Amino acid sequence: MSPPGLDELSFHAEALPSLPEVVNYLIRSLKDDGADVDTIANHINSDPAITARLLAAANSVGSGLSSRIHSAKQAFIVLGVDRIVSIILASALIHRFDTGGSAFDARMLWRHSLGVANCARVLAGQTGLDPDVAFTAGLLHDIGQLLMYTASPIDYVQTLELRRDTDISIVSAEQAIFGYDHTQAGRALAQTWKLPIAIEEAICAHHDPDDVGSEMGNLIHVSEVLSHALDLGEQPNNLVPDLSELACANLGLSWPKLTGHFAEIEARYDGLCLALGL
Amino acid sequence: MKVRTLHFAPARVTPGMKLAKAVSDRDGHALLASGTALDAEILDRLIRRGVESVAVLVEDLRDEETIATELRLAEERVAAIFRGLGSTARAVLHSAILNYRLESLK
Repeated sequence: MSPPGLDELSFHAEALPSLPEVVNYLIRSLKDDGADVDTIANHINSDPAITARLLAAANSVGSGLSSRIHSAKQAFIVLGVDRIVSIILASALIHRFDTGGSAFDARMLWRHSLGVANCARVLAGQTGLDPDVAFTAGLLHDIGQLLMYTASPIDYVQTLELRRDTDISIVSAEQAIFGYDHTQAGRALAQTWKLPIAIEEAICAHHDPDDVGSEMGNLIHVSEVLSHALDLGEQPNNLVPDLSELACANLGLSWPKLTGHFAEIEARYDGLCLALGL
Repeated sequence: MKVRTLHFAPARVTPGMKLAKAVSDRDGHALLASGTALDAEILDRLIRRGVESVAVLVEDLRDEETIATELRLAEERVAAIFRGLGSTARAVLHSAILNYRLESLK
């Protein structure tokens, strides 16, 4: 049987668990300055599983704190809204889309996605883009891989084997087996989920940003390359993808200047993995 | 005593370590000066202020041979992950990463 076509993927999107309501709410409220702590905490409390993971993560981040954190609101007050939103998004996505025990290592995918999200947040601070939207776009940038795996696990495992055996990029391996790649699959899923356009563009552009011409797409592309270059996630066959000159120029990035942030990025990544148990 | 500067998430810091650099919060407000010894109470405050990374001084117990091995392994790993050809921008990043790795191990 041949792999499903790109136009058939939307049927398979229904097989993926939907984004939890609280995650949808958080993605939409990221740019809403009026969102107050009580409203956000109430939304989080409506999902007991997410509340439990938030408290576990908050207490792990704050292992040096003199008192334990017992409620979502307390976590917000102690650790700050931005940080808690990042932890909730990452924790909810990782647990919702866990393919544990299968040939597709979702844990490694999430370690990589967290690396890209972390680079994106730091680089956003250097380029004037919204750091929280950048973090979310980084977390979701490879979501198309999960959709392709869900649509046809055998073909996707074959794709990963082709990539490993011939040392080609994941995009080339996907094109060879499926006839399309995870940036296209991810875009289709982003449209099904009605994600904000900046996040959809980032998913679509992260391997080849010049054709899309989106600021967030450029940022996630550079973050993807930087995350590989800093070896975040330490994949055994790690290969730094090519880097677009145009994306770097449009963002006004200077690597010699950014070198001063590399150690900070690595320490933050370690702290996030620690908090999320990855 | 030979010391080196390492960056850690606050949850990884052992009380007693000293700051290698001043710490500011995410809005740029100065919180602590370089040289401050970190105790449990200060670490508590840093976490509450959203600080996600600090530079601390750590005693360097490595001998010359260990450092040479670490430098060689780092150089080999950077060469391996940057295998193949790419744009000039990728080559500039390659050079920045290699310098960063070697400098942070010296």
